[in-house]
Amino acid sequence: MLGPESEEGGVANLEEMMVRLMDALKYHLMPYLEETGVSGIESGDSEVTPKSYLVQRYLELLNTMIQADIARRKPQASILRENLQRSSFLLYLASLFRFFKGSLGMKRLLLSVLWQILLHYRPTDALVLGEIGDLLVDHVSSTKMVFNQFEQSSNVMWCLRILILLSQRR
Amino acid sequence: MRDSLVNQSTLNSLVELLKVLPTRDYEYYDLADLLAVIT
Repeated sequence: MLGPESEEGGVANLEEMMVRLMDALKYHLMPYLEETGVSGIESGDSEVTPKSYLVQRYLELLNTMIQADIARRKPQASILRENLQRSSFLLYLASLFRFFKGSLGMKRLLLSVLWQILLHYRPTDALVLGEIGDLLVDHVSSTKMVFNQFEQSSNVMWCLRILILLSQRR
Repeated sequence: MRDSLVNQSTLNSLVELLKVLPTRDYEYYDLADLLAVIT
């Protein structure tokens, strides 16, 4: 992706690149994935399907874009906030978390995205935040902690971390 | 003047590719790989 240093018309500004990418996502892929939800993904296990592969890459991209957005240190001029703090997007993340119950890696990715959105973009829909809180409590209470299952324990710790954040914001 | 992060026409092409909504298996994989490249 890197262009030649002296390329005329090159995009020298990370912000411009982020704005262009976010615009493309928010009018096309983002609503498409939210509308189709978990249809087209095999039920809840860790088997990779074309759509679950796409969802994973999509979440990884959003994760990276959030980090880049936060690194700009301009919280009042966030490029992503408006799109990622939407209730329908948060509910989409919640439905994916519910669906991918057999996939520790996917849950870890979802928790990471959720954590960053809650911490940095401060969504305010109390109903949705309450639903997310209930979902995480369910996850923690139904997880049997097993010695040496690092990824599983890590996910539980992330859930608790998010729950503490939600509680502090109440 | 800062060095360019990405060639303008490359970015335009990327943005256009991101607008394609997948319907077939290989389109899901292609789009997913494109997102991975951007990441």
